[in-house]
Amino acid sequence: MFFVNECFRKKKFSGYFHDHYRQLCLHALHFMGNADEAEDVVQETFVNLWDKREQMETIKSMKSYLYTAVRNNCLTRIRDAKPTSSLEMIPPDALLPEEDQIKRAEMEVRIWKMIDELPERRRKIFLMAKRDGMSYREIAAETGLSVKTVENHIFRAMQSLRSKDINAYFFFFA
Amino acid sequence: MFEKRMEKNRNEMDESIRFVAQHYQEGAFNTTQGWKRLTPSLPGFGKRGQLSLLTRIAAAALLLLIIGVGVLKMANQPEQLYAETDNTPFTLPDQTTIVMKQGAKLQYYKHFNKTERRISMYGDIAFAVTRDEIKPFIVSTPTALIKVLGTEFTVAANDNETRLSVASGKVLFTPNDPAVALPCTADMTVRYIAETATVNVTAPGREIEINGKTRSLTFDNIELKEVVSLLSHFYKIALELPENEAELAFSSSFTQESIIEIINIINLTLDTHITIKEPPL
Repeated sequence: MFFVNECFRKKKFSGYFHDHYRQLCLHALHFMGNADEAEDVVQETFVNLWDKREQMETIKSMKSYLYTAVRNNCLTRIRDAKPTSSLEMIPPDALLPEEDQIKRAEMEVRIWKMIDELPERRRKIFLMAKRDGMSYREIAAETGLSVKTVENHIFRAMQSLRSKDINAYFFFFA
Repeated sequence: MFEKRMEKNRNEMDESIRFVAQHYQEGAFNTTQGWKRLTPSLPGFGKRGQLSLLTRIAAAALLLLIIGVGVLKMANQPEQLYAETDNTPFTLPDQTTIVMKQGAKLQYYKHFNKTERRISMYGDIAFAVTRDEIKPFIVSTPTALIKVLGTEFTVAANDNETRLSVASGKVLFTPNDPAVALPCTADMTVRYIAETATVNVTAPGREIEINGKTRSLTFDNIELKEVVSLLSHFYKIALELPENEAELAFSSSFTQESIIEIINIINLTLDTHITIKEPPL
């Protein structure tokens, strides 16, 4: 019987992980500001959940539990890193209603996935502009393309990111 | 009121796009990798229990049965190939040679080679197809159809995506949606994503992008004959292009314009004379 229960828990735990991992990483990223640290917090949260696996069935909304646990673990880490932390050091994101934080993380996962799926050259140009802060002229010089082509790539990347998500976004936030 | 809310929503969404872009790292937040990293430290996950013993027995049995390429021959069943290891070579009945990456699958039916040479596949496979102009070689993936007469090319396919790289000869690539036939020659690559209905055809210095969902088309330095051929397929309409204008290069993007508007734009931009042979359906 123990073996059956353990198998059942493993299956459920794996489902929670695979359903929420990316969203939780993006949720943590708002607090930590660093992808590696955000991923560490989410890993730690799942380790804690597995440690308490016998109580897993008593958690009514696992999604809500996980988002709250990740948020708390992030805030603990921030406070531990700076023991003299005051209220001003808490990221403004922590004050958003939980529901909005969940919806935002879910939308950002879709955006992340869309960036993954952009054609290679377009993704590279888009990230040069939006992540690395390069000007269109600098990108053109680096890639050997015309400024107009660079502009077109970025416009089209933004267009596909928006068109993919706009309906879901209005549904959630309108 | 509604417009203000729309604008606010758009600003917030742009803020999210900016946020994701600023922190984006290829391969980061990968669920499979995250799971691999997590489970060794969890009690009960790393241990070899009864289930993993069964899995090991099954794997050992499979290894005994299949060395290199496993060929399953069953009555009335298609021939199935599965690559146990990387770079597994195989020769099909028409002497076409293939090289399969680990995990790739290919199947063909017993009537292969009678009227046409049709196979279906999954994973990464490189093909060197024996030329036969009467019997085309057709590769079917979950999201696209690739038709050739004799050539060398590589296909990588999964449930959502098909990638094609042409090494030599001519290949006709047709995604499921939009079902436009795209002729591809040496050094061209095609990437089709079914979920977004996006096809990207790239060659050195040239690019075409088609989005079946937004009905948008982008041409970057493409010869007019290719543009016209694609428009004909995309809009299911017969177009005529004077021969002396066929090799002019064209670059532009269209989103949801009608075929008449597109032709007008091209004719005005390049001073060409493309005409519609039959009215649109």
